[in-house]
Amino acid sequence: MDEELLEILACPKCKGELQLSVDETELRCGKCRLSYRIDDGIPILLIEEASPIE
Amino acid sequence: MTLSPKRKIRRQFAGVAERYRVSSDHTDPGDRKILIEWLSLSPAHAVLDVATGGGHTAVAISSRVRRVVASDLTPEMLQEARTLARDSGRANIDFVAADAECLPFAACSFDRVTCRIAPHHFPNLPEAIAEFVRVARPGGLVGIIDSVVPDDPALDAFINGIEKVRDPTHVRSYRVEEWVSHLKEAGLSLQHACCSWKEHRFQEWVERTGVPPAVQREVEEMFLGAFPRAREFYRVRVEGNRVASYSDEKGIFVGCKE
Repeated sequence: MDEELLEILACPKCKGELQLSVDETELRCGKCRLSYRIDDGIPILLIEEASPIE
Repeated sequence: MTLSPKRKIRRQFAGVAERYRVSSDHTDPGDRKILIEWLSLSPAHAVLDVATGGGHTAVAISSRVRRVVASDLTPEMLQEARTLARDSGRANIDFVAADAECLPFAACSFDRVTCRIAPHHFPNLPEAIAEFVRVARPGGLVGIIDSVVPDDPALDAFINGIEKVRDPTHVRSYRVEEWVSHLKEAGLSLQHACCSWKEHRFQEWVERTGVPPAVQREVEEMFLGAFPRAREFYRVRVEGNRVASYSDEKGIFVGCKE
């Protein structure tokens, strides 16, 4: 994922920073304990579609 | 099962996404040209196009700026926008699925924020505008195009009533005054505002949202049965006993974040 894009992306819930997973398949918000998937290169940054981080 | 309003919107647009990429109403550059001129774009700019739909505004802007982020609530719509970007040879656009009322971007990330022919779908318009302002940098511009309705309450109710039948996710097309007051309340100083008429070819327009033929017919009957003032104002053109086209006004607004 493009570094500049990653810099401006934020968790839609808390607006905090997101961490890209090592395999680049998801973006995670440590504060909200939510994971947002990346589908075919498109981050799905919708709270309704997020999964809780175990 | 009851769908949330946002899921309802995603489900509707996922099924008809391609129609919005090829739509004559959305590809028509008339209102977009005015907006682009007013935005004073520079090759250094980063721009966010919210509810990009088929991506027409994002693609048109991308050749004049450094980068564009195109967001939409519906991932299938973003696939269409990406197809349009590829077909247009544009490589400086990123695509992000996002809710306009809850944007996933850090504050002050963009020089320009645009949103064209979409706010009438937003359940909470003030929240969406507040988000546009939050992600724009101070001194940045927010540019909006959407259908607007006249001050006459009967003409307002007529077209918003028709839109709700044709498009179950239609919330409201606002009056210019309502727009101006929403933009000011969100902390924007209004730099430009104008209206531009747009003619809609009826059959393509009514089919676009994917409503069944019986509902399409109901919409046509509403136009055919329009009271004279509505028929005249919306320039309803009838050929034989069928509606050929109607026209409405798009409001174009540009505000500056103080």
